Amino acid sequence: MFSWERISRNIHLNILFLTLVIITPVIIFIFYLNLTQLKRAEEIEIDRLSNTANLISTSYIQVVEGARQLLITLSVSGQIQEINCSEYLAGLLSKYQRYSNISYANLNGEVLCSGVPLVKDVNVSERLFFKSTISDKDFSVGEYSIGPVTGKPIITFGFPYENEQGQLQGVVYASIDLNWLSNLTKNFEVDDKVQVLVLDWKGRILANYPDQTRMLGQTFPDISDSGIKETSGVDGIERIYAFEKIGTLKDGPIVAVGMTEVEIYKDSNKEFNKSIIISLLIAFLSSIFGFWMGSLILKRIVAELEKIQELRRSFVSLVSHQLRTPLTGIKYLSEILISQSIGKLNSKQTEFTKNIESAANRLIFMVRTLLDISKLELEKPKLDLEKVNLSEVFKQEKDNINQLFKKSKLGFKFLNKKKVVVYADVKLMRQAVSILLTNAAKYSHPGTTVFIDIRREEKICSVRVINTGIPIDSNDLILIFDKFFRGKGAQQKNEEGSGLGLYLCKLIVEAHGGNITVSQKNNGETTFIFSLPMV
Amino acid sequence: MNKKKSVLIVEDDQFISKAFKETFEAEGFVVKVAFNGEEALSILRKFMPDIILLDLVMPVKNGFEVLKDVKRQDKLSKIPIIVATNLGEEQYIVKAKEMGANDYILKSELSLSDLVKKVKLRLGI
Repeated sequence: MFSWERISRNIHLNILFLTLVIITPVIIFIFYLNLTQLKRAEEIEIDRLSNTANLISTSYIQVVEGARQLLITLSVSGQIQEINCSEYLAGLLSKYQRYSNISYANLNGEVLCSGVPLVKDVNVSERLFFKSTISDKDFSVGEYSIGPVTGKPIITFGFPYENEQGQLQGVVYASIDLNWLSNLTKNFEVDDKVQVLVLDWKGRILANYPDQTRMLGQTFPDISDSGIKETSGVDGIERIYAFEKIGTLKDGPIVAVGMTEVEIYKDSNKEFNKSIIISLLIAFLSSIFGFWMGSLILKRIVAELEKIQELRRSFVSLVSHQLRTPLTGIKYLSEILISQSIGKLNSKQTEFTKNIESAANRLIFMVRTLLDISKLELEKPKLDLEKVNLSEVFKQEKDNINQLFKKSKLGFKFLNKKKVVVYADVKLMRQAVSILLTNAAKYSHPGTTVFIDIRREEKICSVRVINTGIPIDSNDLILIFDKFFRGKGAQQKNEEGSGLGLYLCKLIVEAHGGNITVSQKNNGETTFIFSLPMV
Repeated sequence: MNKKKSVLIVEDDQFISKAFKETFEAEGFVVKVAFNGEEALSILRKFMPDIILLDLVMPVKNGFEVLKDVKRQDKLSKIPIIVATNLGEEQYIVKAKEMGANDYILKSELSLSDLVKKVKLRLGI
């Protein structure tokens, strides 16, 4: 049975589904592309951090190298041994302003000469740069400290001072002002979002950019010689840091360049979000467009189909009218002849005329049935639903065909006395009941009883029409509701029939949302069961 | 003695109109027959029947047009009209009744004797 509303609804859903099927992989692909791009952006940013760390480290090597060159020059100049060595060193200090002090200490660590005038005795024997220089007899670097002479935060480089015989006499050392060092980072023109730190071997901050003097001397919690590490800085903020050692000095300083994840992903996240929004917008617009186009096509198809359906409806109406009209003429003229109002007929003439009338009535019945079938087949029929007492319908329809019951001396009995009321189209329901009762009467053994059992079963009403008579061939049972099908038993009994009755009955029951089946026992008891929803 | 009742049969099928004429004459009616709507209206200009049996599908002028014309004329509008057709669709039944038909019968589904009963009932005889 066709229902354009149902078909249309299904097609709309299908269009929506198809659009989604097409759009979804596109969205997933775009998402994947963007994710790959995001990953790539992260790699690029991390590479940039490493490169920056490397670049800055290279720049600092020059600072370290500068200190080394200065100290080597100092150690070979012999000025250290002079009485006025402090004056000489003060001269150097005014020339090389990056240094906060340049001094010389003997092997006991006692400072003998100092560019900055000494106000008290100073001993540097416990300082790292001193110990390293003495033990390694080579250029070495110290750690973050507050200059004992200058009181400024410094890092100190030391170099062994030997006499002409190569005997170690003491250590010349130069301290770099960390404020100057921090200022140096400004020259690297790194992004404000990037944190650049110079750390001593213990992780203490020697230089800090962009905060410069802030946090100097504080210890970085999780230091590394080189490579990439995600860790929290002194300020507790999680960053991805690229570490790079400055030069090859033992316990030499380290450059750490860090950036927060948010900053790393910021631009690419923006791009990612932008392309996702654009993709979703395109997907949404495509869906709307697809749905709109689909609906437009669907409307055209439905309009065409409705036109065809209307043509079929008109055709069926016209054909049935054109068939009925001559049949009505035959029926009426036969009736006049049988009534003998225009002249007497002999018995044979009467019999034959009655045959003509009966044949005309059968044809009219068939036209009516075909018309009903085509209406039910063509579209979802409009049912005039009303409360229908089913046992009343059975009683009335039985009365209409009482002649058939009398002819075979058939009994008629309800197995259930309960009144069952359903919502149904009474005209159609009468037709269905009439077909079932007529069949039962035609094919029952004479003297048997046709039983009717109407019951309410939860949400449905089930109706059984039980008769005992000519058995239906078991192969015919599944075909019995097919259009134009006539069972072998019916054909043998030579009963009039078109093979349309049970088909129409099925259409009527189904139009009410019910179903109809047939079952048979070995003794020839046949039961037609139809159910209707109790709405 | 009662005056004979008259019926106008508007029917294009010759066999059916013949059967109607024969039946109603046998029942003592004065019968006039029209084979299309135009003819019916022409008869109605000179003849006032007690009842009209009106087919719908006819050449020249169909039954609906006749129904419309008759119901528009004060003089004729009171004449009861029984639509006797073989169009069984609900839409035609509703339309005819809305246009003023007093009854609607499907010719193939009704015997002549039942039709006569209906007409007599309508005329109160």
